Amino acid sequence: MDIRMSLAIMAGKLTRFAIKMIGRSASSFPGGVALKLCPDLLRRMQLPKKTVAVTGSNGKTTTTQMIYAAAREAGIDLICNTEGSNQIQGVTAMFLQHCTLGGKVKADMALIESDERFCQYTFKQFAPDYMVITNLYRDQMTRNGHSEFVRKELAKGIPADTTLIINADEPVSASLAAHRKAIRYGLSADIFPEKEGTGHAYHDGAYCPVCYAEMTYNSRVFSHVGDYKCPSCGFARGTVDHEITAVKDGVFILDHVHAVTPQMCNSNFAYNIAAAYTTLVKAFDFAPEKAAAALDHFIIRGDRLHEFNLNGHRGLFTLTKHENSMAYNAALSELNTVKEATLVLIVDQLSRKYVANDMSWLWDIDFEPAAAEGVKRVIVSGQFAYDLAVRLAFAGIQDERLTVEPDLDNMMTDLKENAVGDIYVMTCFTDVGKFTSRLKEVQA
Amino acid sequence: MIRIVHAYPDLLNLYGGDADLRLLKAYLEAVGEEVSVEPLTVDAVSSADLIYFGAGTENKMLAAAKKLIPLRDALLAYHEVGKPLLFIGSSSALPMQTIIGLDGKEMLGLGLVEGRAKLHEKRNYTEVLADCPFGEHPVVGSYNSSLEIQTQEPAFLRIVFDSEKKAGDIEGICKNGLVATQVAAPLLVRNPGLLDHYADLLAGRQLPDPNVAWYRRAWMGYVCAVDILKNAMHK
Repeated sequence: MDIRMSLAIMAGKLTRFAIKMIGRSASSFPGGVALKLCPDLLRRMQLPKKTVAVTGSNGKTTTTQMIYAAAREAGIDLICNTEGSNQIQGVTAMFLQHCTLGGKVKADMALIESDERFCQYTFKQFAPDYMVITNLYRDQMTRNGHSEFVRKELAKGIPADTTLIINADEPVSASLAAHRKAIRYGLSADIFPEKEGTGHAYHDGAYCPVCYAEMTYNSRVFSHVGDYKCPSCGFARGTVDHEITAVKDGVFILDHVHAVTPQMCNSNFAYNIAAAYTTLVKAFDFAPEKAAAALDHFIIRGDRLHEFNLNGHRGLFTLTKHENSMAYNAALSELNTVKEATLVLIVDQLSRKYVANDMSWLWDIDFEPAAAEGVKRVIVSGQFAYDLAVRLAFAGIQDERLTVEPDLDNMMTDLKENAVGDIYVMTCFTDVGKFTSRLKEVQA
Repeated sequence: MIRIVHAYPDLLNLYGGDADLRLLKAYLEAVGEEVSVEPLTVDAVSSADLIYFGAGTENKMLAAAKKLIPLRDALLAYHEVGKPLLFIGSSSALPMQTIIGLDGKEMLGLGLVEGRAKLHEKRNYTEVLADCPFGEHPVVGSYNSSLEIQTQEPAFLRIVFDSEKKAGDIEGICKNGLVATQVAAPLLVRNPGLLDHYADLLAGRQLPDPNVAWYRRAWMGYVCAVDILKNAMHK
């Protein structure tokens, strides 16, 4: 009997019980307690027969939700770190919740959403059978440096026996598949084609992520994502195992055959669907038609998208990610088709843990949709409102449409009294409560 | 016509990319100058008024160092007459005599200044408040880097606050028109006092009307940033 392991498990379970008794979230702390007592706990436990990990800069939570819902609906005995924490403490907490004191996890499969940089710690003790890597974009540069650094850190966390499920269209993450077992997914070139010459704030695909020679593209979906090839070393998108081959009347067609009606008909959501579909087919042994049916009409839960009403104006709140240009770009692209709207951008705090002042990430975002004719007003608010205002001036937003109001209370008053058309609010989880609490007050 | 040369914008494009040059160009145009921003070539070097190297990933900075080898003589001649060069972030390695990669291998830098640059595994991120020789306003920004610069050349910044270094420590290089600093944010966007400095240098004058909206807001953003760091200092 492994006494140390059992004591650690007991301590973790008791910690979870105590935290839950006082009504708090126990998504990671119990795991931290158990790991302090037994650092190689996960190596000692009897984990489920099959484990699938999901990681990447953007889309891992949505992709994980999709896979989890489909698998559970199909009756698979699956556990997942759905409570949110995707670092080793959270993964451990998930296993603790479902295991005996003898360390046997009572589930056939585990689905683990993992932070990209923490894979090297979490998967030091056990190897997931499959690892889905959605993409590696510029994300939280203060913490992560840049996508190549994250790629290097993530590479340390991919065990030799793990099969990757990789987004072939995204070259930085796709380069991890070299010399590894990999299943590839993507989008066909002509379904969300980007117009030739479309400008972006930056181009992370201009140079090959393998040999740093100049890279070429046959087509792009957006930014550096698309059908690329390096003429020097041959690194290329190549063929894929599964892809979205068409979009017809707002419906995605997978592998020429299977239809999925998406919650949002855009390329970002398409990649989430393609990732989930490929994982269900390859890692969960779903028949392709069954995987497509499971994903059909899938709705994202939680606070990422939230509709509200303010003084007769319809509002849509989108949770983006500060320091993540792709998340902002996806949200902002919706503005291209609005008829009459007020856009609110709130940047008040980058991190709850440390002082962070770096606004360079604003210049990675394609803010030009905010200058669309239908966007009648743009309000920038929070501590970094002036930095936002400078950025927007260089994205073509005329001064007469722009209101700079750092004070969040004043912003909300202005929004309530002077919004024009629909209201689009974009901010990050560090600032979301500041908006929603004020919204509740003015709605009351 | 003021000619700004932007070196490898698709290779050295981190931490704000071309934002510094977009603001500098707008500033110079606001004071009545005609401005071009051109790619780096041997011919462009000889007629440049300012050459700018942005921050890049470590591998891209090394790729840039290889691409620069044929331009060494032209850049040395440019630097010897004291014309301005600005190296931001990891491109601070480029003007050094040698650059040492993670594998310990040495490669040639531009040799514009004495010393060497060394890459490390560990990354450091820190917010910075520092005094600089250009004007009365401290520089505020951040560095996000795994690069160590070893040099005896005159420093660009004297640290007032930085979570890694002690107050009074130095950072960067400032010599004969060349400025190399690992501080980004972006550097000129975050520090409009430096925009004033470069405008003076290139056009002989500054903005007469501080009511240019973006410029005024850049200053307000700067003041907020300084306040945030000063509050952090006193905690």
